[in-house]
Amino acid sequence: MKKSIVIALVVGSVIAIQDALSQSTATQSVNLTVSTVYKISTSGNPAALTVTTGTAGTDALTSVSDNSTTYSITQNYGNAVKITANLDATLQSGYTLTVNLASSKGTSAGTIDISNATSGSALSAVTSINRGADAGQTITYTFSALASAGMLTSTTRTVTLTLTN
Amino acid sequence: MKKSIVILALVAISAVAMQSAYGQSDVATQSLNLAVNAVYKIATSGNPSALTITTGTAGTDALTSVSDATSTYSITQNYGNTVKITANLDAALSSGYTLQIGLASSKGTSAGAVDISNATSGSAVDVVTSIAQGADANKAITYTFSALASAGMLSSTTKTVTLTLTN
Repeated sequence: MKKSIVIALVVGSVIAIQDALSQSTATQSVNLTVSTVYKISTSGNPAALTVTTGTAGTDALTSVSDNSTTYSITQNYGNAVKITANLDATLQSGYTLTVNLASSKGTSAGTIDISNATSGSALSAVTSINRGADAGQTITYTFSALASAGMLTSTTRTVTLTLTN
Repeated sequence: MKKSIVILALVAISAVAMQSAYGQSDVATQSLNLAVNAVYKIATSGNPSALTITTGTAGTDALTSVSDATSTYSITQNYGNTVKITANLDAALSSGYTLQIGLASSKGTSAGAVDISNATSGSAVDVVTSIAQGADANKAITYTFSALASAGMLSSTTKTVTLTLTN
């Protein structure tokens, strides 16, 4: 009788060990990171901006504009991000190039004169940009000239838009 | 051993710092083609009053001339500093009648009163020369019409004066 009881205890222990083994767990440590992301791109280049006419008696010739291009941004840095604009080289006196960037995630500075803005003196075009994406926002360029400045043979300027904090 | 660890650590920290710096902006560029073509614009304020000779001096063939300085012209040009304005009539006046025109100018050199009685499109005469680039607004145009008594009367007739801004 006693022997039977001992055998029963042994069986019970085996079952207990089996239960303990079936509850085994494993853990993994997963390291997650989202780095700072700043992305800006444009849809392409605007059409040529050519001043062709004016008004008799007025030194300021008739300005021309282009709003055929757009920009898109994505950033996750914060809510104080901005876009600056500058040229690769300044324009000569008497010629003016302005740019206006529309924005639904930030505050557009409106039309700003970038004629003398180079890499060391870029101007803010959009400020207080919220985290997220803003796609297909209109870029408007306006080119104007004074008659007293003379003609300008076709010349190319590179406009750099920088998304930064 | 310790020196190596310190150097490796500094290198690693620098690499992380550089990554952060590069990650703080992105740029997009656009290429703009800019040009200003040659612009020549000239306009007048309207037509002068009628020029009607009504009197003279006994014993003098030249009747008393009449003038009008009520109209003005304006120009804008960006071509250069050798631009000029010429003037001509659509048809010459008959002998014995003279029409002069004088254009004031602050951007160029006025030729003063110029006889355009026989100046037609093929023989326009200079009235302002050496015009500098820019604009010159509301400058006076003075017409003087004179006639000889020996030429007889002239019934009301219209002549078209063309002012041309050219290089």
